[in-house]
Parts: sequence; structure tokens; C-alpha cells
Amino acid sequence: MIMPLRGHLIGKRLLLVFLSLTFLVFLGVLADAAQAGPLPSAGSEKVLARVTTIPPFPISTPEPVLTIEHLPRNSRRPIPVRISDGECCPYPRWSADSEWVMLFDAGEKGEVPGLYSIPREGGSPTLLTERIGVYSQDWSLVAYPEASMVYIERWADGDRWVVPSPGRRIFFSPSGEQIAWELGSSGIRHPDLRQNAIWLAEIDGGTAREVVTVNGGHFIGWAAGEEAIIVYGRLAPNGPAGIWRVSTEDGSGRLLFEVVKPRSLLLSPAGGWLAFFVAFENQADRNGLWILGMDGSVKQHYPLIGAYRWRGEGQLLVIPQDLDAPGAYLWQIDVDEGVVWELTDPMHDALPIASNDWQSSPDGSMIVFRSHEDHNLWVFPLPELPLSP
Amino acid sequence: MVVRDKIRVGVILGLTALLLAATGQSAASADPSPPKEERPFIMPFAGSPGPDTWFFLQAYGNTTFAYRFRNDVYYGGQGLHFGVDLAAPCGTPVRAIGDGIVFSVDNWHGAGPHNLLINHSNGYASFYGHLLVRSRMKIGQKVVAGEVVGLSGDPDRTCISRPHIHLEIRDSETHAFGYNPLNLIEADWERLALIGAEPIRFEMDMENPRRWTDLFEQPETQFGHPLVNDYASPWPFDW
Repeated sequence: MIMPLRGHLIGKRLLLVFLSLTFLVFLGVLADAAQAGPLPSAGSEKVLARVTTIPPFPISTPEPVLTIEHLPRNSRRPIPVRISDGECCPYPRWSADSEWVMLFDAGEKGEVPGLYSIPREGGSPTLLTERIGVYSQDWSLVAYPEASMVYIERWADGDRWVVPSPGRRIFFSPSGEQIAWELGSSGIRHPDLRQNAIWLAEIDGGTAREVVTVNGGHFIGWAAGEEAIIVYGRLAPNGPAGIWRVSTEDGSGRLLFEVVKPRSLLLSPAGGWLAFFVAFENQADRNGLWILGMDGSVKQHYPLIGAYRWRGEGQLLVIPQDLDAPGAYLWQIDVDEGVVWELTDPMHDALPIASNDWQSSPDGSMIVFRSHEDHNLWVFPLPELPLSP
Repeated sequence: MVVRDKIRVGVILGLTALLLAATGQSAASADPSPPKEERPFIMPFAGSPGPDTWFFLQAYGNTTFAYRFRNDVYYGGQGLHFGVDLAAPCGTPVRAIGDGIVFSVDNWHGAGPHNLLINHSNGYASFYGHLLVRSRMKIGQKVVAGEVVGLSGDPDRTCISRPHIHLEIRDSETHAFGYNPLNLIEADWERLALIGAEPIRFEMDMENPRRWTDLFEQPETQFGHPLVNDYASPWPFDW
């Protein structure tokens, strides 16, 4: 909004605007003239680039050496497709078969709250169920509180049962065979001291048991195979802080990575990998994005921050926070190969993502995002990667 | 872009800006908020965001975090997060976001351990919370935009737990109204929000689920007034 202007100020403001713009254009001309390299032509589209030489853990410098390999010019650029109308739909997710975008909404007229789906090619939202809750990875089960208890309901037949989490939010394991919940200490408010007991049970609520208590930390998820869970914090009040692999059988913990303050932790869909970032540590070469193998074998560090989602096991999509670029762009880290691919070119394929609201499809073929330009949902096909050279 | 094209773009931009400036008169509204300019303020931190410097932490408004503590920390702010949080290492210089006059140092507005309130001539005031030490500024002292007025701290006083500043923008007359800093501070907020594994989460009212779920479209805060988000059908739930 622009505040009302008084008459005698208008002339001064116009003159200032004109002089400023003239100066900016002059600076731009100088900058172009100073560039030593050739200007890009319309035919030299950079579609997919290979960024190599990411330093392995531990690194000695925060500045990686990056080399970029360009794909042939005839590579096809992906085209995003708008799939919704009417400025709708925050927090989209994907159906298990990647055919549908799922979201909680109340329909175009705001009449019926529930779970809606939109075809990935676009179309009208369809109400699937009025049940709001935490859904399992395959969407077959949903958990919700009712009368201070937590129910799990099977979508297929409506059968439901109570689980012994005392009204607390539950987490489904990737297979849908186990659940977990946290019981936190109510008297300790300091986040670094607060104790959280992690409980596990079978999906029917059976064999409920406290597996471990973390101090100043939380449950993250299940490691691949679901014979261990991943937590962060301290297992002993004065012990080391970090990311732990804890046996579901006996609660024994193995420290995978010592770190006091891991942020925004994200397990891969099957639990093989964990991505998170570290900031503000005195040892600067520990700050940035980390990827750990949950068997403890791999630790990779990238000196950047940004947004990230798993495309598949060992394939992390990253939007580096690079405000000098003309727009947001997408990388893919292939952990096994230690390679970073530049999937989109910010000069051509800027992604106008609103509120970091985007998700990769389970089959890894596309992402859905909410646009900050039109507030609608868009599907962006992810480029397929060539065979490694 | 070749030089000729750049000049052409510059001319078009200039003419557009001239047209906007000449016609940019808005009607007065009944809104009690101060007259608004196009993002009149600057960021309180210098330099680029990064894992060693600073980054966007929590948005203004109907965030899930504020909703969860709506009957506690955020009760006096109608259940809203009535500022924006920016993470930074303790001791990071905090800059005044605009020219102004210091109104208070370590007042009763909270956000400890130390805070600072600056009144600006455009009808707004800026409030800097979770400062590391008492600001050296004096009440009545003039400050200019970009001047260092404090050092960032941590509400838990550990400098490990939650190092960040809490920045509010209020009206300068009563300090009783809070506004969304993202609409008033010049920055590429959508790009700054692209951090971490989760979307910026706002609490959804399932009876009107699309309302207040955007970074910029958030309600004003009237401090001391009733909660605006005590939903009957919230998502996420009140577990």
C-alpha cells in the first residue's frame, strides 16, 4: 500500500525515482560491459547440470569446489502444470501411487471439511473422507483424538480401535505395523532439559512399552527395517547430545553423530538416510546441511542451508538459499555417488514456492508446490537423470 | 541481456515507476493502523543468510507454534505469533530497521532477557526482543536505519538452545497493535522461508481452512484482546 502523498512532495519523489532508475540502468550497462565471458544465447539452455567435487566429511574449508557439467542443448525442459483454481490449498501431499495430490480443505465453497484429492494432471478437488487426522504412509490408516483417547481407524472398512497413548499424537512406522508417541515432562519447560519418553506399540496398541527417554530431544522416526528408531538429544542427562540409533528390542542406543542442536531433521521414506542442518557452531565447518546413513556408515556435509525433501532413498532434493540467484532453483544430491545435480536453471525455471510448501511424489517423478504468484498448486515434473559418465 | 535490451528494460521500468508514483494515492481506511508505505523498513541483520550468520525461523501470525501456546506465552497477543523470529548466533549486531527515536529499553513487553522499542515517524514502532545484553541506547536517543542498537541473544540464556531475535512492528502511538513485519520490511521473504524440511506451518481452522495460511495474509494483533484462533476444529489437533 502507498501512503497518501502531499502535492509538494510528488515532484521531489518523481525526480528521485527517475534519477535512481537512470543510475541503476547506468550501473547495469557498466556491469555488462565488465563481464569477460560471452553472453548466453537463446540456444544455450542450461537444463541439467552435474555439480561434482563435493568435499567428503570432514571438510577443511566451508567453500566447496564445484564444477558443472552441462547436458546437451536438446534436453527437454520440464514444464510446471497448474492443478488447482481459486487460490486454494496449503500443505499438499501425495497419494502412495503418486497419482493424486491430497490435502485437507473444505471444498471450493468451504462447505465440507475433510480430505480432498486432486488428480496430478489437474481437476476439481474430490472429497475422499471427512476424517481429519494423521494418516499412515500408504493412507490406509488414520489416527485422531476423541474424548481424551486416540483412535486408529482403518479407512477400508471403518474399523477402529483405541491405542494406549494417553491422548498424545502418534506416529506411524513406514510399514504401518508400529506406532510411537512421546510423553514429555510437564514440569521442565527448558527445551534443552525437557525429558521425553519414547513409547512404541504394535499397530493394534499391543506390547506398548517405553523404549528410551531423551533429554532435550525428540523421536525422529524408524530406521530401515524398523528394528531401530532414530532419536536426537541426550540419552543420559549429562551424556553426549546427538543423533542416536536405538534398538526397539532393548532400548540400547548407538550414537551416530554428536551434535547439540540438529535442526529440521528428515528421514528418508524407508528410513535409510537422515537429512538435517547445523548452524552457529563455533567450528564453522560443521555448519550446513548434513546427510547421514542410518547404519552409521556415511556422513556427508554440504556448506549451505536451504529447503530439502527426499526424492527417494539416497536422493535428496535441495533448494539452496541463494538470494543472489534470480530465483529459487533445485538441486539433487545423490548420496551414494556423492554427486550434486542441478535440476533447474534459475534463469529459466525459477520456482515460485510459497511458504516452503512443496513435496516430492513417492515415485520421485515430480514435486507439487503452492505458488506465491497465484496461490495455486502446481506440479513440476522432475528431470530424469542421465547415466553417470 | 544485451546492453540495448537492458536500456529498454530500464526505460520501461522507469516509466512504470513514474506512473505508479504519480497515481499511488490510497484512500483512507477505517483501519486503526498507521498510514502504510511500501515496505518502509530494512532487515535487522546485515549480510546474507546462512548457517554461520542468520536465517528465518518463525513467521508472524497464526503459526502452529503460537496456536499450541495460545493460552500461555501468546495469550496476550490473541494466540498469534505477534512478531517474526530470526535465528542468529548470540552477539550478532542488531540494526535499527528505520530512522527513529528510542522509546524504551528493557520495558515490560517481555521477550527477555533484554528488549528495545523504537518509535518511527511513519506511525510504526519496532520492538527488538531476546537481546543478549541491555542495549546501550538511551530513551529519547535518535537512531538511523542500519545503526547497531543491540546484540542478538537467546531467551533461554544459553546461546545454544534458541538463539534468535523476536522482532515486532507495532503502532507508535499506543504500542497496542501489532502488524506483520513481512509486509513492512523489504526482503525476499518467500526465498528466506525456503529453509528446512517442513513448510511454514499455520494452524488451520477446518471450518475455514484456507484463512490465515499465507505468510503475508495474517491478522493484525490487538494486544490484550481475546484469542482469534481458539478453533473448534483445528488442524493440527490439540494433542
